[in-house]
Amino acid sequence: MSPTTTRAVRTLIIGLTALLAQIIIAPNIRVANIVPDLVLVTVIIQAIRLPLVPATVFGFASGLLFDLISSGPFGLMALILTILALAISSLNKGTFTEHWVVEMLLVILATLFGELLYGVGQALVNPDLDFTGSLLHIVLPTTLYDAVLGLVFLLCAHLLGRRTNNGGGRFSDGPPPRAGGRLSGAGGRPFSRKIKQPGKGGKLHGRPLNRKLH
Amino acid sequence: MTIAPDKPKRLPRGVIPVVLIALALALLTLGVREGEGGPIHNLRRAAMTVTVPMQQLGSFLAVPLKTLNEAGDNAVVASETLTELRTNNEELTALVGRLEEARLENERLKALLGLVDAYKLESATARILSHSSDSWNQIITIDKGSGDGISTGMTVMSPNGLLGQVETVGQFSATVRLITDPSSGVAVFLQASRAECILSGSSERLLYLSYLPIDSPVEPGDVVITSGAGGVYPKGIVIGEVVSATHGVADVYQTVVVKPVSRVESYEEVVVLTGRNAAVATPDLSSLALSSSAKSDSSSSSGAASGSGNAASGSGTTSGSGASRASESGN
Repeated sequence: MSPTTTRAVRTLIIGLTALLAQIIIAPNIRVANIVPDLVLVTVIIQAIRLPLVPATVFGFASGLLFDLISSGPFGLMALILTILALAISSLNKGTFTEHWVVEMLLVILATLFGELLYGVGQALVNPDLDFTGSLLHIVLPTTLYDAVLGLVFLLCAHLLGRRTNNGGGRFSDGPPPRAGGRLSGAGGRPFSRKIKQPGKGGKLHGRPLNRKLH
Repeated sequence: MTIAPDKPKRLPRGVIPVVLIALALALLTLGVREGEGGPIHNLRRAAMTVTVPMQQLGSFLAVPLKTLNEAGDNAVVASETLTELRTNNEELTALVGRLEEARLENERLKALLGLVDAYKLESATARILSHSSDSWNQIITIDKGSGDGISTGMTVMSPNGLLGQVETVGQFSATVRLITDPSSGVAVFLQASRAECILSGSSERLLYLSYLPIDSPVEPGDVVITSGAGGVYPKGIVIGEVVSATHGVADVYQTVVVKPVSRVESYEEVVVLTGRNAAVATPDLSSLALSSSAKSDSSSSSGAASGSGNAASGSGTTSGSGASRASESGN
């Protein structure tokens, strides 16, 4: 399979898993009637890893499926997740998310932004809604819950990426990952890491991966 | 001079996000504007049918979690004792409310010669499959759908009081919007003073009485009951009791907080009143020697006087919760 196909299949599986988790798990792990938004969190984490267009498509599709199973205004979450994925993936092209602390901040801010936008959308569609009350009793607690889960997901994505992406970084075709230190998706083996040479009795030799082997 | 072969044209990277955003906006507009039978509503109903097995799975998997939560809550006393006391307390509170309502109603109805309770209320028991999958909507999904005679607008109750109203109906399941949802509204009256007002849900999961004038007497502990006005909910269902009543100097209406007698978290099954549209014998009021006040009382609830507190009234149903509020408030 080509890398693009692999990426598409992996993204599809992640998206469907998130949706199933939203239906099956999320209502049962609510705390004080606050239900975590697992789809939102997944889109944010994936948008950090994916290039712009796939991230946007993933955000739109996930949001649409979320709208289908929820009772909120149809299309609202699709709109918000598309915008959110677009924004995060655009930031991803630069050097903003090179450090794991920045990535964590990005997850927290994106969660807050997503929940806030959803609240504004709800208030626009339903004029009877008390926006201030919703902000205090729904938006902020949900953001807190989502942010905690987002950081856990980010860590999982990092660990999973390190196991599956040897030498590979995030999916973006941006700058290559730096050696060490990155938390997101890339994980992986730094470019300067030594590789084991055959016939050398397991001794590590200093030939970087990005050099041509003679 | 050589001519370069034509390369396949690719869309600029910015086009797809813009198209998707426009599409989402169009869907949002369509979803808000379309009626109950529109394509998006149908799509949601189909999705609801598909997700029923998943919700059943979730409900099954949640049993240990729920048991764990209950065990934690009851850690300070014997769990059986506490659970039993809570259940007894809820049942007794509801019973006192119903008895008081029945007594007062009985006194009024003594004047109605020969009026009998001609309304046979039918109901169906349904199991709660799941709760809302987001924080914004306070809804539950039940395992009875259109195949079981459930339709939009039907009243849903717990053994002790009102829970909500059926909002969307699929083939094998239905969603119920709870009265604590911010977009729900119920026409109610206070049992003691008979003052009518609107009960609204809120984002903090409390119930508020709206449009209750400052001069209306209200005390903590007063029982709140559905009035049947608007024909959405039957008359006489206990909802809760007043916790506090306050008002500012310049306020026209009081701020009254109501504690519901039924918390949906306490139940695994609910009762759906299915008999509201059933063919029931309409009493021939003209043949009875009714006083004018009695006539006006019966006509105010869409031609259906209440019986012993569980009588059906009216036949109007609404689909959405917003419509419910509008209908109940007479707007």
